[in-house]
Amino acid sequence: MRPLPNKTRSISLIILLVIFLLITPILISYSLGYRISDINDVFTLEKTGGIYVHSNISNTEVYLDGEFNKTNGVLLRNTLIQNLKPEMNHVIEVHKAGYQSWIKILPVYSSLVTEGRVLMMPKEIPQREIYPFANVDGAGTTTPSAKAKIVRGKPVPTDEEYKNLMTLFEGKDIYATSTQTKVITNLNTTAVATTSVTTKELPEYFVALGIKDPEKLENLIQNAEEISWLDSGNIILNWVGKNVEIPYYYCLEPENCRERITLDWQDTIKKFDFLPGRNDIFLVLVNSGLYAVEADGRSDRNTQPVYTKKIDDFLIGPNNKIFIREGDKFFELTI
Amino acid sequence: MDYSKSPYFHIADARDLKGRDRFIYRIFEMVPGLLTWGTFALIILLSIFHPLWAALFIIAFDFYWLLKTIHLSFHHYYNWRRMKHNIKTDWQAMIDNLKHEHLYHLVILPFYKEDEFVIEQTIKSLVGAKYKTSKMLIVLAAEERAGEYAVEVSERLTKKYAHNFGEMITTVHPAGLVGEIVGKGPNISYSAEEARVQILDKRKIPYEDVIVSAFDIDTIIWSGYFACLTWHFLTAENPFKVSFQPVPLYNNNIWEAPAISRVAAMTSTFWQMIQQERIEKLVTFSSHSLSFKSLYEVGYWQKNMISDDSRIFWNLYLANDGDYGVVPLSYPVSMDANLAPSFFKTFGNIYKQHLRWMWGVENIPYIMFNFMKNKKIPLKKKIQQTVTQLEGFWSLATNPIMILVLGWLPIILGGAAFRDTVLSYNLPNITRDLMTITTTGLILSAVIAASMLPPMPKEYKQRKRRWVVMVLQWIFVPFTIIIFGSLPGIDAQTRLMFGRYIGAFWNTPKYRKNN
Repeated sequence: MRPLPNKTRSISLIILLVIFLLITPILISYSLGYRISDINDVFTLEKTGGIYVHSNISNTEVYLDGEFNKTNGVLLRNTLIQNLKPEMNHVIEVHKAGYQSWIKILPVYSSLVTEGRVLMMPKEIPQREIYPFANVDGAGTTTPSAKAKIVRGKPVPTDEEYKNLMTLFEGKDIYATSTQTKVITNLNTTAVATTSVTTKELPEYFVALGIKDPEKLENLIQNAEEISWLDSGNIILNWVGKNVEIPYYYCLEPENCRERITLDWQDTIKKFDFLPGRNDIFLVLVNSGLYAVEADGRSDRNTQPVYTKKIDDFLIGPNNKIFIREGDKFFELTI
Repeated sequence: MDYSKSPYFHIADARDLKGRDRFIYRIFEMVPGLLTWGTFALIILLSIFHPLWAALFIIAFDFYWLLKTIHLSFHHYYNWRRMKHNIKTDWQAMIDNLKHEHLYHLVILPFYKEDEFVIEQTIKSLVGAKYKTSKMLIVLAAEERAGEYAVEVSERLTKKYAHNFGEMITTVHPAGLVGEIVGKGPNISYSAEEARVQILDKRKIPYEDVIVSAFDIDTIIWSGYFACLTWHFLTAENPFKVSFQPVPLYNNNIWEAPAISRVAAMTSTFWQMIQQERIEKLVTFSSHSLSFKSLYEVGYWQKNMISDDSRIFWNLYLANDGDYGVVPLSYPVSMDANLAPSFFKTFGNIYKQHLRWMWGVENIPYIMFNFMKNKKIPLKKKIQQTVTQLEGFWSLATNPIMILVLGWLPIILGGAAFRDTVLSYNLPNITRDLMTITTTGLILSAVIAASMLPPMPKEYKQRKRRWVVMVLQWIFVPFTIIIFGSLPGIDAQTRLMFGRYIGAFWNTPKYRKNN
């Protein structure tokens, strides 16, 4: 048996070369978003766009313009919808039994992918009450034991978690428990002779925003590249990072990104924080309860109830747990 | 063979030259490394400044890789069939029709401190060859630097087996000879000269009637090897202008070696099988054979460099003004897969062995420089050989990394503007899909590899599990081609680029659990 004949090898090479020359432009065109559209039996090459839906929930059903598109997976939870006609708005709905639906109208642009990130809170959020006392079996209770210490006519709670929550809710630096929050200012202490003078150095972005005293801002929350606070009952979210890294939810359309998002609620916002793990979802406390609201202002903001009773306060506790206070009662919400 | 008298003929590296020649040689030494690092730099820069172009290039390259895999798999499959055919062929009957009694086989077995068991197994395989062993002249080539042990083993085995062959001698290569590196090349050259004096000249055997086989000491020949080699020698258009290359199967201890070593070993075998069907790219590697006359005329293997096995081909190519080739035997010889007492030692040994193989890149400046000097070689051949060699080393070092690692760069470095494009989202998907199709070629590899396995040792338990692992091990290929292909390739080219030459031949330890 002789080695592979040169002729056979050449034919194989030529065939593969022809395939390469034919298929590569098609692959490249496809990857750039070009699709063949058939309009009245006239085939034209059209540049399409897409929508990418980030999701932290698995096995959701994704609908495009009212029609089922696909189900996302367990591992690959994000969904890329391609071949969408550009310069049009498309309605994306994401549903899953037991969860609130996410509906968003998103614009599509030629050769670009529009991002969205679902907000899907469970319809029934499990809650656990933290009791001030424990009975003889160790179970939580609101009834103090006969041996309970009385201070100013009230029994002193004995449960450690309850006591910790009391401290967290009543402490002056309760916002420091938020994972989003960190120290705003650097303190420089200069020793002068026998006295010391403490000066506060403002980060540059506060200066740029015209904020002279950040401590006067209500409900100030700062993370690496965003700061937010309450202003006249509305939430102000400001991007202070590099312009090229600005997240999609600041942008109403490509090349049109604003640095400030204002969440104007019909009711006065008493307090807010961010949903644990999300920079784009506010947890908003108003008179009617606690709500999760998108920062993304493209089309209507998705607003989903978290706790629909009047509550006094909430906070993000250690381990990113949400705690609410209703009078003397504390509840932990598991999302 | 005028060119073999040229002062440039036995250059090891730029240090052997002076003045302008030295400068030019240094430039040539830098070329492979510059190409490889230039490729990486280009992709990184494109990913930062023109991520769109980078992404399009990567997609086109991924598709090229898929088609290249198909092309190579076709060669691989064909060679597998040819090798199976050649194994079944009765070569003795074939040569019986030809005048061959005048031919002798000079077999050189260089060794260092390898175990006596390993050496004896190799000699036993020669004894068992289906060939008239009286026509076989064996040289057991010991190293003085290996100490008394090597000499004792050599003499003991010579005494035990000499009666089986036409002649069997022991040579002891002196340590520390001027102009020699520590390595296999000096030993086999020394023993070839000793054999010439002690056997060929004494018995008045014409050099043109002798076929030399230089085998690594773990080489177990298949019984039909010498008959197959003889037939190819006798039927070659000009047997003095070709070398003969068997397929190295690293399967002596394949059942004992860890999966990562098996995959690396089999991948090396597969590459050699593919090269057997691409004669224009075939260069002698590891165990090989050639006419003693040709070998003698070029002064044996080079003694001052590492890659003696491939350099002898280039020596002969230059000496014959480009009129020299390699005949692929498509017939196996069995050798050891890398195996050491511990997994990490094995892992390290595989890397070192592959680094030594990749150091074959030192031939590129040699051929470029000598092509410049030898005006008798046709320009077309010079260009073809240079491009073939450059492309070969470049693709081994860069392609796996480009495919498996750099494909993500435009997304990582391309900035937000690129990340919002349809292309950015399609790039990983298309790359993944093309790679998935490409890796289906591994099924063919698994089938071919399984067909070439020696029987599993009878004492082994959990036999089904071992077979399953033997198939599943191919998922390691993406890692092995980077760790034992690209990285040693880049390592070797970078060393050469900076003139940090590998000064000594790293002798792969031969270890078999059963000895």
